Amino acid sequence: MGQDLTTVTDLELVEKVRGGERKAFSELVKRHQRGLLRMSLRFVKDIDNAEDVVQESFIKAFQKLNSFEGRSSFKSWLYQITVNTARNKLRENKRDTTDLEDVQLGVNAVAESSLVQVAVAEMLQTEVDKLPFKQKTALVLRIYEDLSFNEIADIMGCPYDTAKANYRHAVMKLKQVFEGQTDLQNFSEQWNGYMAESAAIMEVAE
Amino acid sequence: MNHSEPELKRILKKNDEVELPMDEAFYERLHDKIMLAVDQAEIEVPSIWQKPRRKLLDHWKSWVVSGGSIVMILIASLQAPIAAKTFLNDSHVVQVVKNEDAFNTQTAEAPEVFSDSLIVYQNQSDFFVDVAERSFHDLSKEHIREIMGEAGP
Repeated sequence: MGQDLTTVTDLELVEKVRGGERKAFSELVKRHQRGLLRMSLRFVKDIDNAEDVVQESFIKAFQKLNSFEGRSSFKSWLYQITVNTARNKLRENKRDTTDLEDVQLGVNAVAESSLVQVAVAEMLQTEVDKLPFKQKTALVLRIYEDLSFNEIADIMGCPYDTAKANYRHAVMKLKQVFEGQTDLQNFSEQWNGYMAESAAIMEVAE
Repeated sequence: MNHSEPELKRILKKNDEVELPMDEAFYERLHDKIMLAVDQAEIEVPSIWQKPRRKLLDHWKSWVVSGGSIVMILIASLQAPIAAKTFLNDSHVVQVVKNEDAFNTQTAEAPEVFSDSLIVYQNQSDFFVDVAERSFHDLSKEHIREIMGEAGP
C-alpha cells in the first residue's frame, strides 16, 4: 500500500523522485503550481505565457533535480528557476511592455474608490512594471508572496543585503511616485470640497 | 511622509492585478500537462565536475575576498609615504607663509624689533650691500653722471 504523499515534506519527496518515484513529483507539482503561476503572472502578464513558464520551470526542476543540494528550501530553488524562466520569457517577448490598457485592477476592490485613487493605483502598477528586473523580483516576492529576505536572497541567488537593497530601491522609487500622486489626490479632495461648498452657497442664494 | 511605505504596501496589495483562475479543473489540466512533459523528460546525471567546481568556487570566493583586502592594504601602504611627503611639503609652505605673516604683523606693531631682527639675520652679502649703498649716497653728481654714461667727454 502506497504512502500518503500529502504528509511528506518537500525534501522527502525530492529524495523519492531521485529514487525513481515519479508520482512524488506529481505531488510537488500539486503543491507549488498555484504559487508559481501567481508569481509568473506578475512578470509575464498573460495566463498562457504564465502557464508556459510554470511548465518549463517544473520540467527544468525535474531535469536538474540532482543539482539541488538542499542548501535552500525546495520551494526557494523552484522559485529561483521560475524567476529565471520568466525573465527569459520576457526577453523572448520583446513586445511584452505593459500598456496602461493591460493593467487589470481588481474591479471589486476599487469600485467604491474615487477615480483619482484608481489613477494612483494604475500609476503604481505601471511603475512596478517599469522597475529593473531584480528590484521588481525583490518587491514581488516581499509584498505579494510575503517571503523573508533570506528566502528572497536564496531565490535571487544573491546575498541577503543585496536582496534587501533591491527591495529598498524599488520601494523608494514607488514612494516617490506615490507621494507625488498623493499630492494630486489631496488637491482633488480639496477641489471637490470647494465645489461642494460653492454649490451649497449657490443653492442658499437662490 | 513617513507613513507612505505601509500605505504603499496596502495600496499595492489592495489593487493586486493578479487574479488566479478559481476553477479547480484548470489546475488539474495544468498538472496533467506538466506531468505529461515530465514523463518524457529524464533527470540529468550531474557532471562529475559539479561538486568539485562548486567547492572550488566556494574555496576561491573566500580567497578572492581576503586577497582583495591584502592588495588594498598593500596599495594603501605604498601610497602612504607619497601622501605623507606631499603633506609635509605642503605643511612647510604653509609654515613659511604663516611665519611671514607673523613677521609682518610684528614689524608693524614694533619697528624696533624689525631692525633688531635685521641685524641679527644680516649676513656678509647684506653687509656689502649696505656699504655700497652708503658709498652711493656719498657720490657726487658728476661722479654719478660719469658712471651712468651721461657725462660729456
